[in-house]
Amino acid sequence: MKEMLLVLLIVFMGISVKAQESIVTTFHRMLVFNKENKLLVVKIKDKKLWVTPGLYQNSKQTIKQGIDSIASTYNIKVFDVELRGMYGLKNPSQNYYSTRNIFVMKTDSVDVLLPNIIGEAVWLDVNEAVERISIPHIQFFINDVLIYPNDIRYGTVERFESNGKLKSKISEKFYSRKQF
Amino acid sequence: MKNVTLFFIVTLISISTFSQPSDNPPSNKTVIRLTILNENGDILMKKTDYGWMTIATFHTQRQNINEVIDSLSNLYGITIAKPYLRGVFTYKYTFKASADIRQVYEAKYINGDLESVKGNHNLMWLPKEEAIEKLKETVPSLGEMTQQTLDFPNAIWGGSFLLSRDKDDKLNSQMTESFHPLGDNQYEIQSESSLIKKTLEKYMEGSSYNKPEMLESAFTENATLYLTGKDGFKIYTPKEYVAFFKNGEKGEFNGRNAKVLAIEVMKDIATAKVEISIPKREMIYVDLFLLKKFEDGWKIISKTATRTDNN
Repeated sequence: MKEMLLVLLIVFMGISVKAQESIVTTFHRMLVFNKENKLLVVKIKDKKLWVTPGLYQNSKQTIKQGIDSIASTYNIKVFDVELRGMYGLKNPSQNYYSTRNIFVMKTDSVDVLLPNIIGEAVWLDVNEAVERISIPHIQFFINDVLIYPNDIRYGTVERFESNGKLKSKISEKFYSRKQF
Repeated sequence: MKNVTLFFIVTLISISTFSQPSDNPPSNKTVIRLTILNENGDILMKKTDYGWMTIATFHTQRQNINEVIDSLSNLYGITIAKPYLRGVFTYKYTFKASADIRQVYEAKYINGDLESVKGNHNLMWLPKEEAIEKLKETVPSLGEMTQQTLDFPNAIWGGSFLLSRDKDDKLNSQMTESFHPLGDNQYEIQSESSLIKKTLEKYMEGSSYNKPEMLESAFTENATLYLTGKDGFKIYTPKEYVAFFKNGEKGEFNGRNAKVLAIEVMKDIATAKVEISIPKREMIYVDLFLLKKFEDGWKIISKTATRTDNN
């Protein structure tokens, strides 16, 4: 019995340590502008969630390959891809940190196909697009990179839920990390 | 005793449940790498089990970039000025199924005595060229990223490498996406010229210092070289051309001075002109090149040359 307890204790401690490990992810958010300078905004199927396209860096793809492959799921080709932000996203209640890379890019494509997980896709003026997007931290990031078009922007946002609504607050003021 | 065992089992099950991944998918790893320069432009280098490297850490904690960089510089007992982002690169591997990110920052050293870092005698400042040579010995991609970001600091660079291990377990790398600016498109035209210059430098250094691999790497395999030889004007392959330099002492200057006279870029093709002077033999040649941009960078697809001195 003593041995069994010892084994359980060791497993218990191991799992406890594992449970405390941070989750650190990287997400590439795509701001795709068409010829009329309208931004592509998409609605997740069966959810009231409007976002811009994007992908986690969790496959065996380079950043460029990842962006091109997501664009291809919408049947569009993107060019002039610019990295404009590398923000941090934290969840206060979780041991979680995510680097949110914001890429601005152009497309000449007009017609958009809908990938399986997307219910709707629309091209909107930037202000209208930001208003349509339902996740506050994405709104923060888009507004910031568009205010500073020749910059590379940093800063951290904490997201949380309040009264069943997703909210965000800036916990590290946005700043530049580009040398002019 | 039964109750204690039951408690452990229940707790264990509950912890297991809570430690399941939530809606956050697993991510490939990110390394934050710092090129720290002192007032002489020397680079802070660290000797590791893999060889010489610039200082770096995996981004594995719930820390923002400022916190990661601060803890990294504090670890080595130094204070640095604000680091600037210089590049974001992707590493893929032949030996594991992931694509990791390398964020490269550059910062100026302010103060702090490296000797004060207890038990750490493998840190030193090295002149840029020597540091880059050592980084390339560790793994070529590391030297190439550092060199690119130091030589062209006005852009934020992207690019990708495929890493492999040779039979002695040594890391090697091959560029799979050439360096490209991640932003500031006005810089792109200039940068293409700089990338072409790098290809021409492989040709110039390879031919002036009898470095056959470097020389051959400037050309596509099927490049055509129209040259006047013993048998008159004829077409050579890159391999035949490289063979001209096989008798020279490898790495030793053979008397050919080379300089780039002109580069003209048109989207993914370019022309270039290089002057080769050999003072000892009172000879001056002009080389004309056609270049093409491929996934792995600019390559010479054709070359011709003529003698321009009056002899």
